[in-house]
Amino acid sequence: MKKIIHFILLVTACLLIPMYADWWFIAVFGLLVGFFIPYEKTFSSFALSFLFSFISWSSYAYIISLPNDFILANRMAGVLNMGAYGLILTTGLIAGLSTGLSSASGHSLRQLILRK
Amino acid sequence: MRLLKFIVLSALSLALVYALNSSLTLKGNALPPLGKFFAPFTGFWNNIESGDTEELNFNFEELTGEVKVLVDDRGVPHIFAENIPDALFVQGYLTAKDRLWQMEITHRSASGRLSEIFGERALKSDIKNRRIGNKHYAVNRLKTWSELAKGEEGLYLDHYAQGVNSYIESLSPADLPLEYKLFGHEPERFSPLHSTLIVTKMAQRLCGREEDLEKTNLLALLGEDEFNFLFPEHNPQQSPIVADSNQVNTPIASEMEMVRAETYPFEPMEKPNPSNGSNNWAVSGEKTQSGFPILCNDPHLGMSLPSIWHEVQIHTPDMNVYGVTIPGIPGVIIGFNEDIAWGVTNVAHDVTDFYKIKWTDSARTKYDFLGQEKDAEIIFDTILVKGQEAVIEKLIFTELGPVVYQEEDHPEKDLIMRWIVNETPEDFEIGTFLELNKAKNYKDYRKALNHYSTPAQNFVFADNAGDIAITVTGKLPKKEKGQGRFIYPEISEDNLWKGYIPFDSLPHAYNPATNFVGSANQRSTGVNYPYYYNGRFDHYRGRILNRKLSQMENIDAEDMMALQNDTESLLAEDALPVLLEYINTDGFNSTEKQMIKLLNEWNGRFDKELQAPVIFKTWIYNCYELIWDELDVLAEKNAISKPNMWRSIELMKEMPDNKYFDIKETPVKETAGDIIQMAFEQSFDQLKEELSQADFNWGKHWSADVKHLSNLPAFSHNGLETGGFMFALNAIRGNHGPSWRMIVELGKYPKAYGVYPGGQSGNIGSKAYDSNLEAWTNGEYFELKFLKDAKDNSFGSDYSILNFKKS
Repeated sequence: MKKIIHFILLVTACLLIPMYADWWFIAVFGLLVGFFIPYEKTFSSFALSFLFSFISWSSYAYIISLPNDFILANRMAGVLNMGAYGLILTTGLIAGLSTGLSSASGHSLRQLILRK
Repeated sequence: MRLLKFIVLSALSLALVYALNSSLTLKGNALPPLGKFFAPFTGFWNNIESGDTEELNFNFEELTGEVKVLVDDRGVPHIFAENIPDALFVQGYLTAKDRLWQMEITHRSASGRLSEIFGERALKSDIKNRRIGNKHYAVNRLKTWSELAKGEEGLYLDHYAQGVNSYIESLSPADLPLEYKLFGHEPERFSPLHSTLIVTKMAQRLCGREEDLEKTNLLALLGEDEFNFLFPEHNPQQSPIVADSNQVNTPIASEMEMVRAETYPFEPMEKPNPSNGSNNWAVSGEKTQSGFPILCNDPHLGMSLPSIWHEVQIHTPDMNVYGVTIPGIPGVIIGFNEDIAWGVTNVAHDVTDFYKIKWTDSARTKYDFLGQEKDAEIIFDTILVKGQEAVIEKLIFTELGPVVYQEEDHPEKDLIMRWIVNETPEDFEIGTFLELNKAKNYKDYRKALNHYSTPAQNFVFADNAGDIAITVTGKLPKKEKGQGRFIYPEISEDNLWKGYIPFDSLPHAYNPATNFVGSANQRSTGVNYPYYYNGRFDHYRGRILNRKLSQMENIDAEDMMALQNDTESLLAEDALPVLLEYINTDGFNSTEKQMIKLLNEWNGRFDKELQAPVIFKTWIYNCYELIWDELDVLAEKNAISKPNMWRSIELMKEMPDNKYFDIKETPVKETAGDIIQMAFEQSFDQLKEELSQADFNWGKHWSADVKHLSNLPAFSHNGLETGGFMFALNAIRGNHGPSWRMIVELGKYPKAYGVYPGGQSGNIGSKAYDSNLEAWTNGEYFELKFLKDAKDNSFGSDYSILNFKKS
């Protein structure tokens, strides 16, 4: 249940936040998620936040690229010397690392404050 | 322990977010902040277009009526408006939608403001464009235009700019064209001054070419006789645009003395590409299958993505026009309406002159102008440069133009540049195109051209009444014989232009007996034309065009497509016989013999699948370099011009023992034959690796590049294999070539074909970014959907619909 809530929260927040605020608020959100969702280990908080936000941004990039025949993806990827899938994975990685690390920070803050 | 863990993780997290939120530099290129750039809905992913058809509504208070726009499958907007101001507003809006970043880059390039975006790599070009005063003179031109334009047309540029700005205002940061996100800047409001600067940029490409500095240096080094021997003013083989043009008005009879030449140590300013040129022609109904004229035009310009041209149809109650324009300039520049068609090529006359300035004070603030002391206008101009400190450039303007060359230790060598485009206009030139857009017959065409000044163009014309015509159009200086080829040693009454050639004396042809008219940047007239002009003229395309058109009969559109794509060059016809005559094949290996065999069998066409053109081109260029090598030695550090290719070939044929064929470093005295032999051996060495490859051919060797304006290879199409050569009608050279091919069959209702190397959209996330490119590469055309009205479904009904209304 915890994980499902975590999944839904992160996937939607990572997509909604950039529309209304600076993109880095996803890291702030990750911090809150890390703090409030009580996983046993900090690593779980990191890994799941990483995974869910990775899924959020990379599947967005993949899905909107489909009707475009990956034209934009291929051209932009060329600028960074990679392929279209590399670009889609990079997109996921940026979100994944940002929220993953901040969730880990949030989780370690929880451990520090609650001293469990 | 827990504290430490928290501190480490938070620090890592903060560092990462900080890094992703900053501009990083990768291999010298600044990257935008990656987090923002990759973010869904706001970053570059948001620039994806699906390409589905759609119906959208827009409301603007600037409109007076309703405007309906049909956007066809290639992204061409067909604008149906109740009046011209509304049509131009919507044209501005939609052009910006397709090409906003390109428009901004073009006007910034003209005014010398690219370094703000691209940093130091654009600084040299910015300094040049500031020094020659593009903005200074554009401000003056716009001011005069506003005074001269009458009634409704005075506001054409304003309506267009309002349309562009309405589009800019509709954009949130998330909607900005991708390049703004990539290079980290924001769109600037568009104004009529920007349109004016875009006209300047075009003029720079077309009539900004001169070699006065280089020719003067060479004249000083060689002396008059030797110089005249190498640079005769007339090519006896030339086939001019208007052969029998001897319209009289009183020309200037006197002859200018050759200047007292001296050398100037300057590095010449960057010049427009020498391959800028074009073809246009029209054939009368006598020569066509339909009995109506056919008109064709293919301007050769830089090929870029987005393309230099944007296609549009504009329909109002008193005009229905289709064609292409340059984003930033309202109306249609090359195109057709229901009655007429027109096209342009560049007039290659020299309209730039240089004068030595005579400073009257040591601080270089006052100068002598025809015996009077004048103050130079001095401006300290700030050039903002991304990533480094601003640069202050001192600009100096005089009565005749900017001081463009300055020598620290030799103030007596400072030079003023006089460029015809900078003269105060006498007419509202933008109006010319709108008048042509509305023209119904020959009389309207001539009336429209009377208002045109720069850059001078050969306007070809045909109409459905069966008339064809061509006019060398624009402001062209009246000169004494020999005037304007070299730097003038002083400003004097004698050295100034003597006014301009009157409109009715400009070379023109109307329904000539040959039943065709055409131009390819060659000389405007035969030698009997009473006005003197000099310039840099084509020597090959004009000849083959006139030859082929005179032979063609019973022409249809397909014949004209073949002619625009024709790769035959008279350079081969002129030069190959002399090369093959002198070559001694004794002792040749099998590859060398094969090379000669290929050339013997060659038809002179630069087709992509052939090998012979590679050998020929390499050989003739090696000859050229070997012939003129001593000029480089003579020049030392001075910039010089080298003789024309046609003159080099003529000397090989007629004076094979001339001293220029001798190679100074060798003890023996070489002749043309020796040069040809040596050049062949050099060519063999250069080509032997290429020749050994199975798929070796002209298409691979001479491939064309269509680059994105930022030069990013990922956004460009490089290495396109296509036939053609700059001395053939299909004049392709690197990133230069036919930037728009158009064929219009006049008739009761015209039928037209066109293609350009790019696509309507400047958005790299759109299919329309390069959707015409494949057809262009293959020499294919699209039928242009010239609609009678907004309900016309003769080309199907696959349109997106945009409804613009007054709010």
